Amino acid sequence: MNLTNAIDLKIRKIFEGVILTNSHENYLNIIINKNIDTYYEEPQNIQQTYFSFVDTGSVESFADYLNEFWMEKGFEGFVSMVDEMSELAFLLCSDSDTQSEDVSQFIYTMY
Amino acid sequence: MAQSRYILGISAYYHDSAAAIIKDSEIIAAAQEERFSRVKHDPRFPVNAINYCIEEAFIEASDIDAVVFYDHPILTYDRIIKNCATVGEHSYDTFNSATKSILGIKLWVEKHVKQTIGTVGKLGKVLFAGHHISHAASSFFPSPYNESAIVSVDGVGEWSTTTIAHGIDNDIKLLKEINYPNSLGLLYSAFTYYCGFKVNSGEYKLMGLAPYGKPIYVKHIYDNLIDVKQDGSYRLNMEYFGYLETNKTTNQKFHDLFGASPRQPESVITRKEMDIAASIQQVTEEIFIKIAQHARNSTGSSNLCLSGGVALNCVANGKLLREKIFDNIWIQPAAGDAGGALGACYVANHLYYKEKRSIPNGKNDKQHGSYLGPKYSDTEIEAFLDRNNYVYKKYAETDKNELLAKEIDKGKIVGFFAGRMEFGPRSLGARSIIGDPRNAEMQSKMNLKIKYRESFRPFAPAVLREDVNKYFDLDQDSPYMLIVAPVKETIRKQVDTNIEHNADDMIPIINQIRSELPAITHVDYSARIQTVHKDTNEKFYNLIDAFKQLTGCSVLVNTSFNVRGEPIVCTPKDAYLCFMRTDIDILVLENYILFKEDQPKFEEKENWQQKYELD
Amino acid sequence: MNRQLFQYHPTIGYKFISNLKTRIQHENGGYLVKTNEWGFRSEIEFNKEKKSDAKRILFFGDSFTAGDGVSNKFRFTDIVEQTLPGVEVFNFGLPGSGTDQQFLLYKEFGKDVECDLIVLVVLVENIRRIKSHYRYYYNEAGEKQIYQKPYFDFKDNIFQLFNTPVESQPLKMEDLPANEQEKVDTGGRFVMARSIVNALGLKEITQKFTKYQPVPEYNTANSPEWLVLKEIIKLWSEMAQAKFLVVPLPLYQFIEETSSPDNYRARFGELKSELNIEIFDPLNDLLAYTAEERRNFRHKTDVHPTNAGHKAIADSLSKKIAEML
Repeated sequence: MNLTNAIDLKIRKIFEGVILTNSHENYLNIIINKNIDTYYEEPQNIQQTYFSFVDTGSVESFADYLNEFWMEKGFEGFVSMVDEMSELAFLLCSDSDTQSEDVSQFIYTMY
Repeated sequence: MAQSRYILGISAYYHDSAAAIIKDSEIIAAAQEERFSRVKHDPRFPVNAINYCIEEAFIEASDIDAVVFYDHPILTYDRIIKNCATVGEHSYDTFNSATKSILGIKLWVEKHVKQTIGTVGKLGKVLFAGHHISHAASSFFPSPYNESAIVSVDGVGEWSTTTIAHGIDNDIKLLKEINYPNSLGLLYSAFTYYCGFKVNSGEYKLMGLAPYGKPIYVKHIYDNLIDVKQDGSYRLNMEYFGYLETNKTTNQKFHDLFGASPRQPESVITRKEMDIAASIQQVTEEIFIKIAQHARNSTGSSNLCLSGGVALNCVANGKLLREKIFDNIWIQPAAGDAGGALGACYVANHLYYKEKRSIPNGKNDKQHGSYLGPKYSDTEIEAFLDRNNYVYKKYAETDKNELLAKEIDKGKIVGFFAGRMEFGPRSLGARSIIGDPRNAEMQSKMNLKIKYRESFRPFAPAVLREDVNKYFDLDQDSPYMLIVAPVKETIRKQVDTNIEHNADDMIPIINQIRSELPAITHVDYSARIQTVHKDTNEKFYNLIDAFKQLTGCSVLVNTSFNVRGEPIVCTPKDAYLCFMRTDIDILVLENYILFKEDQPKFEEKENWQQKYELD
Repeated sequence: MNRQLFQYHPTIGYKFISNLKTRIQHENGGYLVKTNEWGFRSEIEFNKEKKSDAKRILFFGDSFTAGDGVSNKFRFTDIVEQTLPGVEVFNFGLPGSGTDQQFLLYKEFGKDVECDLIVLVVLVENIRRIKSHYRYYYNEAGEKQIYQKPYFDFKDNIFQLFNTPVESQPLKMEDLPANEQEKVDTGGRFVMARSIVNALGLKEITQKFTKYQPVPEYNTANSPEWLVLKEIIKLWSEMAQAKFLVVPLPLYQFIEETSSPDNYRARFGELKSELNIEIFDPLNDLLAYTAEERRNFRHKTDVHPTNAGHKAIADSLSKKIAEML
């Protein structure tokens, strides 16, 4: 099995283990409510919103980082596959030396 | 003596990657990667911009204290996961690509930094600064204020799309936020796409198109697309947007709402697009003003600092200024993602290291006119010209300006290259194409023969600061071309109202003479003003002053030194190529002047029209 | 690379642009280059008259002396200055130059400079450059271009300078006469074979196994290239206004013992006795380091000395210079 296949298989596995398993819930604020006065929220994710470090020292330490990240925020449902995610990140890292001129389609900015 | 602290900030993988470096809170350098790579809005890791920043600081990379990255990759991944979990099975393609992009590239900034400069600095690891706190820092810390409300509005960064913060001394506190998928930036981008312009670069065109239309769809937008509260907070009706499930900002329901498919890029712009542009511009302005009012109420501050891509909407900025909600407004000139590199530096400096801030005087900012890029010495320019056998003459400063003033008065167009390159999307007289604003043909000539861009797009005036109120209803600094203000009634001219109201084609409307400065007067008698200050750009100031001495007019047309789709020129070579590829008559490289007719036969080595994809 | 480093010079061919402050991206993460008013890589301005009691040393050489791959302060010349008290160093190194161009550069810029010692650093490969009439250079856009260079040769038994003034514009290979095309220095021996071997990652082992000799021009005392080099050194030593030291700087193949240095060492040994000039060979000192240390004297792929390489050269050279001063 080549690296590309291995990566795609892992992504599919994580997709099923994390995305589909947790897809019964709405995680986004998309309900329009005419009866409230404001849609502003208090800042969330305080630590990462200001500044922080990400531990990518090893597969294990990155998995621990992800585990703590979601446990702290109360999303236990996302931690079941942190080991796989971490392994995947290191696999992708070894395959990521080339850069594309394209803007990632998942990242929108204005102007 | 205490050692200086150097902080390198990096913005990458979003849009318009950049690097910045500060030394003991002072900005040393900042530049966008596109200027060096010649790829417009280049999102790649900014190896060239980083190299330039260290060059300007002239230190060993190992002397850098901290390397800071703008954005937190795992918080962004958290958003992707929750987006996909909300959508379910149909989100697989999104998840697949996003995972590769974030876990495969963005997460490994440290590796890319080490590969590029051989070290991650004395801190030993890369610090990740939040997207919106970086935006906020990029506007507050270089501003002239010791205390200020801070508003940052963009497409999305990690989760946030709109934030209100309060800056005091060397600290910033985030107070309120609106999170993805609700985004004023993405709303504007959706209309940008719908009107046939490219998302992430065409928003400026949509803003320029707006004054040609009537805001007849405003109610339609409020009734269907967005619910806005009195405090400016809002929520989008996601039934009309495509970006939760796909990589498109709009969906079929959106298209049905406006009764047609999106306009095809480069096709004729009709009255409908003009009216839609006018409508979304008005909605954006109204929300923007409400958010600002809420920021004023939340912080009690009379100062406002603005950043985020929406802060480049200079029409909205001008309206906000005239609302007089705040006594003072300062806008980060690199308000988009490039400016995040600078903001990240400040986050590290003032929030992580808790460095004290020198007390600003309320007037002068620390942005150095945003002339933060490379400059080229006379010896470098002469070496370049000699090596290529280009024909030039060197002038003393005064003689040069007298000559240029005469040539501009004759209708000649000048490529002006002087001093340090600008940081941010606007050319401010360091890498500019300039012409006579009194010339009625200047706008169409510049658009069609120099810039090769859409004819409706207006040009900006660069005016001596002390004379701004002679021509415009503005009597304050606008050094970064971020404020639109009306042209004075006294210099306006009557137009043919029949053409104005009934023409479905834009050309006759564009061609109407609206003022004594037709080249810079937009269809609604507005102008995007740059005030020119002797203390930040003496060379440009002196040139305009020479034009004033000759003609009595202290305004020049100022547009960016590039062709459509090309990054603004950086080096003498870039400038020469742009000069030879267009109808620019005269090239000024510092004190060297080149006339087109004197130059050796130009042999084009690349297909630049193909290279610079239309934006 | 967003800056041009060199400007045309009619006698030498080119020189550094004056007053540059730039950073060059490199496999080691990048290095700083600063040039002075005279157009040489230096932290200080040069002047003809000595303004202090410091002993002044002028260094001439190619990119190894100029310091390609390292910042100014890490070059062996600068370390010599830091190591020896009361010493002031002027580094006239010019990347890509041959000893012929360095001699012309000395005549143009160095001969009227008050000094106590002149050090000519002959990277042993420079002998190949002096036979060429043209060289390939890469401009800042990475484009490969052929430029004319000045050269010396014996014609009608007279030692003469050719290609002067140097043509300022790049030339096309196809425009050169066939006999001149052979005089374009392509950057070493066996260009094609070398690129294949390098691509396969077999460079070191191949060189050792084949007893690769990178500079066969030293094989005999009568090779035309050696005769020209010898004549240049002779003329230079006669013209020198101060003590004169020649330092044959070994290529990495000699430092890492994949090639034999015997021939070039023999030639410089003969020179010492024939011309009665000071020769200092740093190779023995360099060979005293471990194999691993010696490998780290050059970059991973760039053969120019690393900071460690410069330090080792400086440590060796300082002793000799201290003796001579």
